[in-house]
Amino acid sequence: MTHAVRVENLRVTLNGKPVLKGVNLSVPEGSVTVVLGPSGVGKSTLLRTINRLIDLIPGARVEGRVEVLGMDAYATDPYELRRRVGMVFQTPNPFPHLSIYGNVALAAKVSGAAKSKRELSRIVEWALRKAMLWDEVKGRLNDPPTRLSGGQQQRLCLARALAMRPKVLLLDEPTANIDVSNTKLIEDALRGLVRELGMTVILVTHMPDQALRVGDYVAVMYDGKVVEFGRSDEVSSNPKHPFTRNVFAGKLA
Amino acid sequence: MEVDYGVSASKVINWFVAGITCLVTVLGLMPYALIVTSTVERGVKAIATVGILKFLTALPPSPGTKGLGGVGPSLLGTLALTALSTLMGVPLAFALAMLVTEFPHNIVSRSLRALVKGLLELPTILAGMVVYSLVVIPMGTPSIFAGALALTVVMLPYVTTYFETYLGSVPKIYREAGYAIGLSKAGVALRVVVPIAKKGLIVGVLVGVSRALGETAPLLFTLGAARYYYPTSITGPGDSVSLLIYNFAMMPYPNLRAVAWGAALVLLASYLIVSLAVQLCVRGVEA
Amino acid sequence: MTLLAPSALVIAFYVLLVRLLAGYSIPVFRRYGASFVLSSVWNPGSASYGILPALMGTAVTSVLAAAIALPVSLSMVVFLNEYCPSIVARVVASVTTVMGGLPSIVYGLWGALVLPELLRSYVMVPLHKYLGFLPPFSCAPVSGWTFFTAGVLLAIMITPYMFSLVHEAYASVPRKYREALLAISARPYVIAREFIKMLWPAVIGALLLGLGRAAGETIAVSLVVGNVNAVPYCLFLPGQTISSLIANNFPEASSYPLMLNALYAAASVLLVVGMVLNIAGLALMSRWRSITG
Repeated sequence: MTHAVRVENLRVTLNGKPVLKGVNLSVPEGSVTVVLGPSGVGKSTLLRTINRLIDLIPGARVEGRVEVLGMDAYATDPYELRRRVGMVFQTPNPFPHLSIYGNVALAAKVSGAAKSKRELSRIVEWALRKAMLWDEVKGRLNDPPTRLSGGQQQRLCLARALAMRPKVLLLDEPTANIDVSNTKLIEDALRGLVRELGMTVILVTHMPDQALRVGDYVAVMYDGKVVEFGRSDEVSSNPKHPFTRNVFAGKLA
Repeated sequence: MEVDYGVSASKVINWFVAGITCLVTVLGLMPYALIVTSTVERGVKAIATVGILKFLTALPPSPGTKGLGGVGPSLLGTLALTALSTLMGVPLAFALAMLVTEFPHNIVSRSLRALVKGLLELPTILAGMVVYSLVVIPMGTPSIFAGALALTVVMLPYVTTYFETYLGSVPKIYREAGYAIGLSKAGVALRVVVPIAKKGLIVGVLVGVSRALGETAPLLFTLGAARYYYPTSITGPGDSVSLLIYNFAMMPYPNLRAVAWGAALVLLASYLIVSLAVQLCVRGVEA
Repeated sequence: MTLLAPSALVIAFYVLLVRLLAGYSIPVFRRYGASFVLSSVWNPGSASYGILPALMGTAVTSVLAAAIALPVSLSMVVFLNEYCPSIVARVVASVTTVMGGLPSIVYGLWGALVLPELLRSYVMVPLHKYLGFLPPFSCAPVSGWTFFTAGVLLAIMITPYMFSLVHEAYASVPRKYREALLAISARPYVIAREFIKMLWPAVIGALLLGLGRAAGETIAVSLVVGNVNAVPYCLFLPGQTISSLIANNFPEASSYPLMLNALYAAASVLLVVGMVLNIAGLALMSRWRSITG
């Protein structure tokens, strides 16, 4: 089995405060891996080391090795890395000055995934379909994203990430602020991406039931480390680490 | 799903943009460097011929002579104008800022705020024209008082805005604590809010001072350009360093122009000192 | 209440201002009508007052100043925010702010005695030589005290102001958009491009406010523009702006019939122009602020 992302002994301090204290994680290619843990444990920080968004934080220090698609993430050009790794954030953040079409198109243009105008509209439609949003917006592609509901905006952000044709997709608690029906749509979309395109999806959440619904693999995080990793059905039914037991105890009432 | 990314184009464009914006920034900053170096070079040359003390106290030379003299009366005028306009303007700005921050939802204070902000857009020469018609003509003579009045009009909106910002940024809990121990509205304002906002108020005063130092247009018709003798009264004509520079710059006499450069250096130095003080105080407030 | 006294003073000032302006200007507009603004004849002896050259001079110098200042301040904002190390960026921003508040007479002195010859030899003569077929450059630059010089000096004076406005707006773009742009592999120039597109109200607002400030500047301009009542059909001619017109003629205003009135009328025109620019500019800036919340 190949691993799309490999994290070895990753330590991250933010302004002197240690957040990740030696994370080891190997994410299998072509699957959904859920990173599960309570708030503040470092899940978002871990995600941001994979696409080097952590470079944005001035007080951040990163030690250890992060390997993405065979490349050392911290030895490559970050822009090359980021065009292969899409990201969806916790709060939807569509660009307010661009239309629905424009939001998705920008990602395709900037990452170089689209070479011509015709190709561009093909990719935009493809991305919106894969994000389960096409039917709802196909008649109003020139509308500003503010006219969409929160759940629709989040699917738009998913489409935007997909327009880069990434091999890896990172999602930081994408359904935390979304209603149930939109959550289901996004989770269906993710499973479709893995099944049809062999994409590697890494989803961060604090909800154990979401981990079991969506995840092929689960990595449980506690106190800045990954304390348990395995297939989701095994981890939930036979948890080895005491923390994991607590996490799934509520689930398996 | 293999895609050829054709990358290098965007990398090249990025370097190009970086280079162009860097170049334009450097070119854009050059004039300021030129201005400072010209002023320092020519000003030092002028002041050095008579010595700094003499330059600050002596009378200006007659046009076309060899000597350089000094800017004594004009410097005194600038100091008097600054002191007088600060004396008139700061309490007024303070009262206005207090009014706006203590009664923020009152229609009177909101319109007042707009009116004061509107003064920012008044062409400074118009301030001078107004004071000319209302004060100089009835008095029959230009005067330091009239000049200071015009300067007060010009500096008022700046000082008020600074006061407003710092007084307004005092958190509500302090005011509420003051009321809780039985202070009246005025008591809270003067004994709780002001001491907390103290550093910011000093910044406001310094900003007013730096405005008063540098303005010329309000003084054109109100001050009188009396620079060959020391003024003895604020109801009589006077001069300011800025006005001296303005008049001497246009003269065809090299010695007067040299005095202008020396005076400009004095003005530049004073302005930079006050600005530095403001920056340090602001850093202190934000800390 | 003692707080009412200062309010009364401010209101009183405005009342007096309006009365003065109206009192002096209305007779002029009544007598000359539109020709006050459209005539080029300024002859105090025969009481003919036309401010067209001055008005055009204000327009030409302000527009030239803004046309130079806008790209420069935008480049500075982009460079300092996206490419420059942050310590250097902060120093440069501080220095620029300080230079922005430098007394205009210092700019004026330098503009009067150093800038004209510099510009004439290194910029105006080559421009006339190679681009003289274009109308603005079609006259041979004789002295350095011209509309062009005034425009350039004004550009130097308003660039720090425009830079501060745009810089503040740029810094207030919510961080989530920078994250989103980085996540789609945007390089710094893409981020800058999209940010500026996002904050276009602030850019236009800064442009209008810069124009307003340039139009109102008196001291530096009157030392540089040449003080000749000429229509600016070419940039390299000496000329006049409304503010320099007032500054130069006010001292003798009482000697001629109606001159004081004419100057007040000119000041009213300047005030209206300035007010329109500033109100529009401030409206756009506050529109930007309400977007970012």
